Amino acid sequence: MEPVEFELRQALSRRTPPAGFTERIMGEIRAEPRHHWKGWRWAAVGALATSLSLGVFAWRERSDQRALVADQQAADILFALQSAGGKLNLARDAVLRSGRRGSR
Amino acid sequence: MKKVFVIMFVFCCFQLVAQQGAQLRMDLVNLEEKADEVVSLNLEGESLEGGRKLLMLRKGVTEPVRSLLGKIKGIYMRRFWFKGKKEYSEEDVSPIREQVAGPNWVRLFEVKESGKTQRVGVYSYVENDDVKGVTVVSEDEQEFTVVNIVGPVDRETLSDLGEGIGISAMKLATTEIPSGDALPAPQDPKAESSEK
Repeated sequence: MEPVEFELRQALSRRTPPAGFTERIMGEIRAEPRHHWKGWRWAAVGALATSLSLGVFAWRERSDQRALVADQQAADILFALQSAGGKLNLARDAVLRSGRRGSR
Repeated sequence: MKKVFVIMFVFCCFQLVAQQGAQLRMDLVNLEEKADEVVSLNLEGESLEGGRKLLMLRKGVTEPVRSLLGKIKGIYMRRFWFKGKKEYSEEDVSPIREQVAGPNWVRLFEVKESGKTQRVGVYSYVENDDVKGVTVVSEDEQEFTVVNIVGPVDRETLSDLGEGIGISAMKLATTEIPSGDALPAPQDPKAESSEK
């Protein structure tokens, strides 16, 4: 057997681990800090969903408010125009009445 | 280039003056102090545009009314109501009377019937043979109303509106907006009034 071959066999030979090796390794694994990357991902998704919902809510509130204002403005326009039209008709009817009286 | 700007500036100034000409100054401080109820409306710019857009979409608004709404540049209204009879004087309403007696204002009607307390005046602001505005002034024992409409107002349509043709302000909130982009076909105002 060549000395190199002998050394290689020595190096690759099966060895029995020292007593308590498995417990020590498992203890070290347990002691290692955990990575919470999955938790952070869910938190980010939640924050995004919340901000989206809030945005949609605010937008709807604003458009409802605008619709109410436009409704009021439309009612105001009609109120003013109908008032003017009503008075105009009063004046016109009076003129027509006086015209009829004059023709008799 | 400068000339173009100057011409544009002068044109804009003329437009502004023309609009202000038809617009009355509604400073009726004395009436405001004496009145028990005051209705004050200044509809111009955005406040007019928002309501106008909505009205254009509503069902039951006739084509002449749409046309009228499209041309109006401003609506200004003051209504003063008094609990007692004739609590205001001629002097209190003179700021309005003086303005409608001014140049470019044409008196269309001014009616005061014997035995009646109401007095109504209708005035047009005319510039180069074009109507640029209409003002209606109504006086009664317990009420003084002035409505100043700036823009080329069609009196017939205004009169139709006065008869309630078109759409009621009270019913506005419950009136449908037609689905889709199609606007309802113009209705014959007379046919609608006869249905009522």
